[in-house]
Amino acid sequence: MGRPVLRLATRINRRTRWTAWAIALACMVLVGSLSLVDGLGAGVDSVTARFSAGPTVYLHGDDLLLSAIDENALTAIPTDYAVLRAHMGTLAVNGLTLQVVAASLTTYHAGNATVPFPAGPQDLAIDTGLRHEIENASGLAPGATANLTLFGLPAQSLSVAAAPSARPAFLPDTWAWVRADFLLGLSPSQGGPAQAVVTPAPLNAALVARLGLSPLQTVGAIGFTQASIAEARSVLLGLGGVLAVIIGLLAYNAIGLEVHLRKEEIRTLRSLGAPSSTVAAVYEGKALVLALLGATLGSALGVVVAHGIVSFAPLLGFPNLIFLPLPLVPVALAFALALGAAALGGLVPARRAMGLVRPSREARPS
Amino acid sequence: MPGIPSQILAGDVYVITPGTGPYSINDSLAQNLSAQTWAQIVSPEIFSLGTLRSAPVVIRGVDPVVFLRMEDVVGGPPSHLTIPWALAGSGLASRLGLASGQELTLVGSSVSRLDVVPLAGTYRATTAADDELLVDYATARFLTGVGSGVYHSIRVETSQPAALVAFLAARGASAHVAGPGGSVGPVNSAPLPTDPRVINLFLRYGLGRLPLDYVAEGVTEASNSVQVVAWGLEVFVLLMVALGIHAVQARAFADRRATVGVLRSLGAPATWVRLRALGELAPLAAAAGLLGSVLGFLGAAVLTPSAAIVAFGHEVRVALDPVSLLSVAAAVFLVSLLSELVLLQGALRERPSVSIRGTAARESPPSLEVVLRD
Repeated sequence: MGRPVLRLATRINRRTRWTAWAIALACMVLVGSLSLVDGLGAGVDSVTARFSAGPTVYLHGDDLLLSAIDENALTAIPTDYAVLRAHMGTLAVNGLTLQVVAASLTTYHAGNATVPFPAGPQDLAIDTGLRHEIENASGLAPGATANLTLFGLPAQSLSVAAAPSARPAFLPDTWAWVRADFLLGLSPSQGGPAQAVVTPAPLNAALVARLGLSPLQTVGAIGFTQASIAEARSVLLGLGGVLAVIIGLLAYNAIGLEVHLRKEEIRTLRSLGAPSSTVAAVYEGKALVLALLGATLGSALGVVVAHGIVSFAPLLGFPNLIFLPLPLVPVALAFALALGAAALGGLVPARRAMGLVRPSREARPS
Repeated sequence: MPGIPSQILAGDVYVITPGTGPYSINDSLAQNLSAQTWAQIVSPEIFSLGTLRSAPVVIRGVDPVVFLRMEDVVGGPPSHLTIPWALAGSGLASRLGLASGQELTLVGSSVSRLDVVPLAGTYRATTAADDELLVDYATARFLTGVGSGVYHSIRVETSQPAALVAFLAARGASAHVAGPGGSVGPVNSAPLPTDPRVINLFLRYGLGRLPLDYVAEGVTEASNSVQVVAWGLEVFVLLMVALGIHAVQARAFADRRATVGVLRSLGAPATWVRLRALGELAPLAAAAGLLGSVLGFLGAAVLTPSAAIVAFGHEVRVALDPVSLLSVAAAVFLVSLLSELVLLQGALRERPSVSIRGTAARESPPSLEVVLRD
């Protein structure tokens, strides 16, 4: 029975041809728009790809100071890594009171933890930029001791140590550095969790997800482009949702009309012994065939029109940086949307077709 | 949307960016420009593109007093700003939920950087600056890696661009100058390439060096790229609207197809039928086009800012632009008339009897023989 069902489902007439064209148009708009935005992203990526990416920083959330990571869970990281703690605090030194970031760094090499600076648990390493700031404001080099207030607790008197010698280059020179055990001793609940994990190369995405971390792109131009293109894509995906509804309605309308006009044919089929599921398969199949045709034609048209726009723009005085990539994702999305929406749209008329039967001779009025 | 890149860089004033010669956008040039009587406001700036709370944001290193005066911000910056500081435009602050006293996590632009800067306040501007974050020069230099004493651009508010160009030429500064009307021109610098395909090949394949004046070139290309994408989307929407209009008119015309046959059988010439149909349709199409444009504008205005489109960290603002409204109405009008002509042409090609009876419109349903044959 499969072959007849297929032949009936693929009968294309004038009405259904127009429906296929309408679906093609909707798919063309989706594929073309997404291709253009992806092309802009690829063009800008080609500029940002020339930037060196630097180390990878992972946070819990998207704000350094609000991030809280359980350091014990990080043993699952297979490579060397560093753990950064950072908190806003108040530094009192040389008679000045300054709002500073008090941070600590712990590096892990083959599972062994090392705190590179400062040397002692009650030491405070004032970095060079902050040191200059203090010197400029007070006219003196920082004194031997300084008071650091953190977490709203009483001020802690710390010995001022030398500036860190090997601070990671991506961090500013205006922070004050303490040891992680000092923060932990001060407040296990607030000083214990780490704020960031720094790795020389990106970690496995599954591991990152398992640890509940999110990467923070420290080369902002890359993050800026990615986030901007993501914004544009989300707007277009909203358009995709609208198009899906339209495709669903088109399929519903076309198949509903087909069922209405072919009532007698369906009844004949049923009286010849075709089960109701076969009849439903014919009309549900027809909706899918229309969607398939429309998505294929629309995707091709979308690609051609997008290339046409980008190619002809320089001739109109608009040289641009749009590198249209192979639109695999937009095409896949168009097919998924068209087939899904048409399948849903065809469901109701197909069910209606299932209920059409020729009245039996006995049931007919005399 | 298409104007966002140039609005970010220049706004409504003149902007000086580096040329192909030795780097001249520095403290010395800014100070000398400030001393000129024709230069009302001079604002040296450092640009940093980054993210804040995962959203794209343009960060600008500025002198806050000068910058906010240039952007016509009432009240100016908060007093007693201590370095480091950040000021957020009200659009950005409301979108990201920023409030004074919060600590902001900022990242570098073209180099890897991470810093925490306190938000000292917010400001309200009517320009692109309302969606931006301002920081002190030291923070901007750290985020961008730009050396001491140099800037990415100097913006100058002046009514005498010719004097500005003459001053730069006399000083030997290598620069590109762009203003509200577009590029004013290169000064002591090679002109921007008219065909950037070679640069694009460099960018695509990572070969060769980018020119020194890539800022000006990059902004032009970015503006063009965004413009091409925006127009491309408009073409797609126009196609969708055009075929939608055609579909609706085709449905309405199907009911009146017989009328064409009657008129033809009574001896009406084809041109007369066309003119009569267009005459009937034109007022309706014009009214529909205008009504649709106005409804679209009102819809956008009502949805803004809750459903505003944000592109490149800047909100795309809805502006009442009569030219755009009339262009949309005119496009709808023309599409409607063209659609009617196409539909009429089909009916006029038929014999009047066919139009009247509508026999050709009735489709002979393919029989069940396809099934029975198997």
